[in-house]
Amino acid sequence: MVQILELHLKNYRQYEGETTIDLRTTPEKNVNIIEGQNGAGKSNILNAITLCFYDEEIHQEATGEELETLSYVSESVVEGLSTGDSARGYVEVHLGEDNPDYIFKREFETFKVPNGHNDQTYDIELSRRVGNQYEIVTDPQTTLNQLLPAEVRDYFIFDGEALTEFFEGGYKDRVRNGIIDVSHIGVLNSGIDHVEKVRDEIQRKAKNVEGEAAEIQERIETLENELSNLEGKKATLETEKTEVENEIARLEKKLRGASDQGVQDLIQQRDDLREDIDDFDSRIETTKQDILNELRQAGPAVYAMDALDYTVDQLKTLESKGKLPPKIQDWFIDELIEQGECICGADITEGGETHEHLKELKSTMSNVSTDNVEGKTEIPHIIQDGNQGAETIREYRRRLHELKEKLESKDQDLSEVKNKLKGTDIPDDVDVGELTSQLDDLEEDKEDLIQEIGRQDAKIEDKNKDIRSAESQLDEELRKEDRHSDIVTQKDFATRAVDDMKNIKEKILSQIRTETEENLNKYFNDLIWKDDKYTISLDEDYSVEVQGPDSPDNRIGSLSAGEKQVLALSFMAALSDISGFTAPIVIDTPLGRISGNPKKLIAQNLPDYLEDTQMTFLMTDEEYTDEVQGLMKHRVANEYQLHYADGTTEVTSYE
Amino acid sequence: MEEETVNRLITDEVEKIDDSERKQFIRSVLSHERKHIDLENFGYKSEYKDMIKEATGTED
Repeated sequence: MVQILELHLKNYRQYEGETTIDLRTTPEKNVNIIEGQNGAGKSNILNAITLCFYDEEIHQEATGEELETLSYVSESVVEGLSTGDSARGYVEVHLGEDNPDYIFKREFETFKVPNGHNDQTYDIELSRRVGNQYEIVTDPQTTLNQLLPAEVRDYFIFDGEALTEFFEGGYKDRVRNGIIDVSHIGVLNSGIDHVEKVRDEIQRKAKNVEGEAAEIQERIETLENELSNLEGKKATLETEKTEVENEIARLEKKLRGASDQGVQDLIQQRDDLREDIDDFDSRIETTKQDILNELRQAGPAVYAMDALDYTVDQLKTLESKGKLPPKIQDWFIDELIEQGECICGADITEGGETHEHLKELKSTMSNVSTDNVEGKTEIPHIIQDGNQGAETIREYRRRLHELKEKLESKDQDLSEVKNKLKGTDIPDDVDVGELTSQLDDLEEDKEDLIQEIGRQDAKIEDKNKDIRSAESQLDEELRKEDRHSDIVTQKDFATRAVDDMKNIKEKILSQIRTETEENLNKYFNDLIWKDDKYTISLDEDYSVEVQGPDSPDNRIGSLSAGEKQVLALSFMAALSDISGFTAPIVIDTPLGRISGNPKKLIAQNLPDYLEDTQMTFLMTDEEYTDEVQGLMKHRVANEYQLHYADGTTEVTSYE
Repeated sequence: MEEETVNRLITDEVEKIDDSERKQFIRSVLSHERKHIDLENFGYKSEYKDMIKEATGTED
């Protein structure tokens, strides 16, 4: 278990002088608690770690607090400086399993200037243990990023209260990025991309080709350029889409800040209607797919129904005229001849008249007559299946029609609610009308962009098909020349390796999504504690649906702040199950917005869900109640209290 | 603590590949990618080309 073994602070913020916090945990006791009242310096423990690792204070980022007005070096130290003088401090994080394998350190300096101070941070330093010695690592940032890259740090070191925003607008990207980055699918993606590039370069080495091969190669280069343009266009569109989504999220936040209750009710109605519309859209898609599946099965019989009916009539006519034999299997005749006697007692020994008759009958049983016999019994079954299929399709169509009608009605209701919002003008409140109009326009822009991205995807797929087809032709041509056989062998090898990696990616992605969904369901239901269960689904596009209790509608947009925090915590816990990183977790105010039973359940269960992970909770006294303490006791390795007085915080063991 | 360790969910699948040369090549590629996870641009082309030549027993 990789853990933060010790945290050393020197003159950092309110931690004046030298402070060492021992955070060693064991697999059985994997939790550290640092408890302090608001303002005592709890969040600055989190900040100290992110400042050391990433040269930024995460809590300030999350809350927008004006920390920059305070100096990095403890104020009491800066006060003692003369103008023009400076003082230094540092944060040191010891990482490892039992003994420190890595000691990361970042120094900072505060300069006293006439009107205040200036802060400066220095490059991160790293000492790495090699045997019993520590060696300076020349590129510490690279090592750190291999251990816990900046792009995944938000899933390991985070502010619990900020989690309430995790499932707000644009959450799909956060869910997707979390899954892709934390599970190392990103590593696989990058490997696929790079091997493909190398393969293309190998192919281009076959440059001294003539005739047909040269023409094909030229075509491939043209196609690749076209593909590159299409991908560039798609990337631009996706950037535009992200910008639009960010703007939507910004305006939404502003709109939700309206103080008028009537407006809040309309926003809630709008959100509910949007969820209903999403739900109907998804059910319409499923029904369309069901119709297609049924058509694939029953289609041939349905389309050939007239021909099948005619065939059955013809067979019946033949049978009534005695031209169609009953269904006799040839093995039955063989058995009869072998036995030498019929059940009626007739003699069938060799040389006899009956024996000869049976032999003749068997030899004249042609395939055609067998088919006719089979057809006589099978075709009515096919007709029956076809009729059933047609009835099922009719039923699906009825359902589709109903769903479309309901969708239309919800769309109308949504337009009405939006019009009401657009017509709202409340003095001294946010400009609801204008914001709603802008949001409407942006939603339309987003929809247009999604469609355009879809069109680009189709073009990219076609272009890729053209390239693959041209490459096969080129391979054929190159194989004709011995001198190119090595190139073809190398290219084939690279292509197969890419195929292998793509297959692994597809399999792993589906496995990871299923596992995340299962754990998200388990953790959320365990933690939220309701008699009736919620059902959470994680779709292929990384959208999350929360249904129940007592409601089939998706409630993701209407969860309370506490429920959203529990959902996000459940997601973070589910991520750790699929993680490729073995990093410790540090959470500031993990139970901030959570009350009652969920608070107790989180305290009790979270350390068990993440049993192979060191967890450090920075909690207020309101979070770390006696009850919570009692529930976590068996898991807690270290308990500290922060005592703040006269601008300085002292860390002591819990009393 | 190893910085080149790739998620076991992925490496378990790599181990299932029958062809030993391709299996080894993919292992090496993933390890190289994992090692440079933080970088937008890093050298890989000559390494991968050499690995492919070695795996296929071919020359330039």
